[in-house]
Amino acid sequence: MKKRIVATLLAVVMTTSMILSGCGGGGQSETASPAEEEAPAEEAAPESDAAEAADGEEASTDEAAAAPTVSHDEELTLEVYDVASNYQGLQSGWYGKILKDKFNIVLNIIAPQVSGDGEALYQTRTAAGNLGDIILLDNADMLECIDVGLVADMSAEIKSYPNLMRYWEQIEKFNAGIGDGIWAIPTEMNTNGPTAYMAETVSSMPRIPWDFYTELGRPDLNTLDDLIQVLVDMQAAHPTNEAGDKAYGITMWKDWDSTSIENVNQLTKWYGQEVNGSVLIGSDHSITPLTDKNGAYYKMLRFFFDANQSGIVDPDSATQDWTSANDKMKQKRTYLVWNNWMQGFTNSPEIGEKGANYMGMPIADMTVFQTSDYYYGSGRVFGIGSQVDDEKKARIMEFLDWLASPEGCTVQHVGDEGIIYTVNDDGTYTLTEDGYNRFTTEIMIPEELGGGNWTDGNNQVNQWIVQGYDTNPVNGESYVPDLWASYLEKNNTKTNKEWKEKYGAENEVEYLKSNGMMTPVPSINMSLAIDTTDIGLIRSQCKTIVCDASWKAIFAADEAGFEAIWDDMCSQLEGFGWNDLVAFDTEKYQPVIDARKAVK
Amino acid sequence: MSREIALKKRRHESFGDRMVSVVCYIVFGICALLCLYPFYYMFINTISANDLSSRGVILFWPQGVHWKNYSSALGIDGLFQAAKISLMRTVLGTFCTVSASAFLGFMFSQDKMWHRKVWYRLVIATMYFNAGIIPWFLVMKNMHLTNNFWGYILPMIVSPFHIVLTKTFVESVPKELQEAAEIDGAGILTIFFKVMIPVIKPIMATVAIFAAVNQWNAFQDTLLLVTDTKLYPLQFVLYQYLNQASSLSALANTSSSSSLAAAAATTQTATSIRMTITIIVVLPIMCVYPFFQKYFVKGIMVGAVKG
Amino acid sequence: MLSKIDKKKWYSIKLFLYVLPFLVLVLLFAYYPLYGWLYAFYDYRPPRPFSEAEFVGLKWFKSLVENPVKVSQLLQVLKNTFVMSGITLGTSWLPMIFAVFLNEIRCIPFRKFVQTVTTLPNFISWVLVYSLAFSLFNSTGMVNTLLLNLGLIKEPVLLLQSSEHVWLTQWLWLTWKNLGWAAIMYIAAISSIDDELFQAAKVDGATRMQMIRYITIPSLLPTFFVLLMMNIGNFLSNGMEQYYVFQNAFNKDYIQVLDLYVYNLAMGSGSYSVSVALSMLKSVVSVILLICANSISKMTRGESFL
Repeated sequence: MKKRIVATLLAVVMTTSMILSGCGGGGQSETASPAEEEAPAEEAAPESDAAEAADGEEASTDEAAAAPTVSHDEELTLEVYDVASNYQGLQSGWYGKILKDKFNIVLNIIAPQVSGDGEALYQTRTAAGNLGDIILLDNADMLECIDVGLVADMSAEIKSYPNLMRYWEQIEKFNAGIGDGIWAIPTEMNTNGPTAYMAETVSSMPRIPWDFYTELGRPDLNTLDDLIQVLVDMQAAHPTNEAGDKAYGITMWKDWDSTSIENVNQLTKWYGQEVNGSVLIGSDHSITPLTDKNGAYYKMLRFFFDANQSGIVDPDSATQDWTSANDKMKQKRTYLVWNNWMQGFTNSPEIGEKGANYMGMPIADMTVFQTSDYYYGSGRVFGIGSQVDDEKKARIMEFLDWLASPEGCTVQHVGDEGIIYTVNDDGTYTLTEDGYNRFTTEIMIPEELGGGNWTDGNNQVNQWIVQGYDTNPVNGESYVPDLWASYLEKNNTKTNKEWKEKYGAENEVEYLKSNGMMTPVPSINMSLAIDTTDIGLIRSQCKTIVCDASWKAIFAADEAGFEAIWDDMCSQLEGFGWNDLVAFDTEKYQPVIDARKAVK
Repeated sequence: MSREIALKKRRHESFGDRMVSVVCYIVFGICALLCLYPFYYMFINTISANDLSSRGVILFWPQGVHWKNYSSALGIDGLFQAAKISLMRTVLGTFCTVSASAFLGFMFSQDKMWHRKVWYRLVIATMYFNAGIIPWFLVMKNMHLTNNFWGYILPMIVSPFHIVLTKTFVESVPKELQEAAEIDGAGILTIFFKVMIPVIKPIMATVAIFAAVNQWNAFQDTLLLVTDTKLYPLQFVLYQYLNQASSLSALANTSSSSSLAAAAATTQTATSIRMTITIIVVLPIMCVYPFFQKYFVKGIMVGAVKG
Repeated sequence: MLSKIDKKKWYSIKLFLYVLPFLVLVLLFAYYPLYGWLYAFYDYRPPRPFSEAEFVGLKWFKSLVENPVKVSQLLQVLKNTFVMSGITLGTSWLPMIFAVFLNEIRCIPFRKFVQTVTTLPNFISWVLVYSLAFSLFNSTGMVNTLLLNLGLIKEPVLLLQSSEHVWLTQWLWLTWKNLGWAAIMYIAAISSIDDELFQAAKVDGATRMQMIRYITIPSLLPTFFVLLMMNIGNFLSNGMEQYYVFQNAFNKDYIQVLDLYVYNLAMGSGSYSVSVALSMLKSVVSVILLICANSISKMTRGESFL
């Protein structure tokens, strides 16, 4: 009896699913058909060199038809599928008000990143055939979406938009790799050239509090051991911060780990290698496996282990998340930070006047890995959904063009004139007091400019077509305030002056460059191979092994323990197919290396 | 009268009975404390000066009391609309689920139903199935339930877990009750509405609590089905703030502009704001429980039949 | 005579027709999407359409056990799953006992207070539970400070990083979060017990423990067993959120349950098929377990719940 019912039950399930799967297949082929129609012809794109591109630009501006005039009478809501955003919902506040007034558009941002399950969102929306009106994706994903017909071609329109055409060389170069047509617009482009590095700081190098360093008599740092010694001395002299909370030389956090521990990944750059998945890519255009014992990953893991042996690693490192670690940075409870943007938590003009800013410390044997500014693009691209009609498309193009215009860039990278910055007599800009504090305090915006506070009203798309370091043709300075003369002057504090005196250079980039400790690696924007399912599975299994073993190694009891954990990791990885992964990644990044060599 | 009996009882309580009482009070007191303290801890941290709470020194009482966390959390755009949607889906969704569970729980206890067991098993088995999101999404889309308020309600109506609970309860009701009504010539619907519902109120209240909390807390369906911001529920609007810290890791590798990266890093949500949001979301739904508790009353059963 | 049978038949059909609309909903929302299980046998990676997906047969199922290293990892994962589920099943009487004794509290305001307050943890998301746990148990947190000041320990204990007693501590967290909430069902069930039984027992001079043992608990057993059955069906599903937030390199070996393993595996691999394959496998196992549990119940207790 029971058996029969079970059988009936199963039969029902099976037949229903069989019958219905047929229908499902039908639905699938519907979404598939436009893909076949629009699948771009395979065509080897000719390499366009800079001169040609420049010609093209001139030619195009000559013959460019004027952009179609579009009516702004009707309010238009644009769905923006945005992998960079930290906010889902309507763009509001001062930036929303500008878009509304100028173009009568409202952005409805869909942000997989904050949704908690971005992969599911991406899969369902692409399976249903509509990602959004404006689409921002990583290069590789965009390529697949173009391939299956989710993205519209804008080759017919783009030449009428002068601001976008200023970046024609880069746009054309990226799209040449796809096939016929212009499908995507790279982000973070500039006009400074492919090898320029404009910033005053490098992405990653040791940064320690200058006042404590001064107390120790500013000893020279020749090796990593010296750095550990300095941190040990600092922690001995200042076991707590001023509020009396326990402080440590180094603190780490667990929630950013990828294929390997993120904290170690950042430090590999001190010794000329960058972690990319399972391989290390060097400033010298080498590719080696992450598990190479001569590589920087092992070296920096070793550094953390040594530091822990010296008692300067926060015991909570393996269990705390970024929020807790970040609080410690803000409260001066950790004496080593590495990324340049972390100085945003530790430094300010006031602290700098006291001589207590965290400053970059060159170690004599260091060779810093640093890519140049994105010239060709950052790895993410904008596209337009294939389902939008011509009228809507014209309005989107008009909006994208404004995003690339000097006016649009200033709004995106700085903010409202009058509130965030003022214009000097010579046309350059100065940040207002509110402008200086816009990231750290709540700046209220007047009701007639959109109301609310500045941060909530800021551009939530969080990705820019034009990079902040690009030169503003209006006044010849960069779009971001970091390099404005007025800004540099204000930031030239006691700390900076003392630092310059000791190192005899204007800033850390200049010091590193002039001492042969860094040559920026040309930044490349190309679409890399996507993991096949097999590789994806290997990757996710290996990453657990690498991360767990790395943490255990850092907190190993002794030298022998450290080595044993490392060796055990390597042999385990082999069982999970690590070598296939390394082979895949080596092949994946080879085009990048080739392109970098070509720039030289 | 009953109080008199109770008083008499107390005088006659044995030593063992009193020990039971004492132990109960102590154990439950500790339980309550363990459950209440973390919540209290969250609350005092949300109203204390943010720099003190991030240092972790606020443990027993608030210091530097301020309500800025609440005012800024309540100032989030579209919060009112989101609260309205949450309220609507909770009320409507709970009503539908409770009615359907009560009805189906009752119906599935009717031995006379044609192939009752097959249908019952068919429903129960769905509790353990997961077809995957893509086919589910396509089904919802084909039925025009994307960007549609009913997409929140319809899939939740038949809820196997609640049906099982209700059916178990219905089966504990003495059969005489239904038989008596049948002899009086009542139809099945009359029996359900007139005889059964008054008796199964406690389990309906339980289902209501569960269903209401489910509806209130749901945001996964919004994530996949809805892009119309007018249909975002409260949980969804606030949930993103709990999620932001994890999305920062991507930043570590972007070196483009230090100030911009730092800016993005500072937009991440402080723990105190996350706690504030939790409290704001939890408080309204907390009121549901005491409200339904009054249906947990005893003594309507066999007496009613015999009388 | 015939008409009587017809009438009976018609009545039974009528009862069925009443539930039919609901069955349609079930078919539509739960059974129709099951065609998606087909994807498990393909290499389907959106946005590539399904028509382009390659048929791979049982590859994803096999890949779980394709070499000894993976097998040993999977065995450890299954062990964790069995232990965690075992502990949970073994202690599933706790909410019932909780409800029973709560009912013994005569002071109504206190009872209602405890009832309400113990459901509070259920509303705190696991992410936040972890940040609470971290702020209380970190090396300078309240618990360590207290213990250090009392001189009970010499060095801070890193409870969250400990690889000892992982199963126990995880169970404690889970119980803390769920106990009061799960008790609601029993509290409701208690209210359905006929008061006359208690009155009669009191007249016979029964103590409170006797009343609990011979009246309250037997009346709650049907609910208890039904919930037990359903939990057995969920034996492989511990959920992953709790373990995800509490996992770290040091406790991973003991904390990685099947759901977390699947999440760690499928997340970021970009393949939709793998996760479908694994969830399909789990569905099948669940249904089999459910059927087994039901037969056992039929044999031992003489009644089935299905």
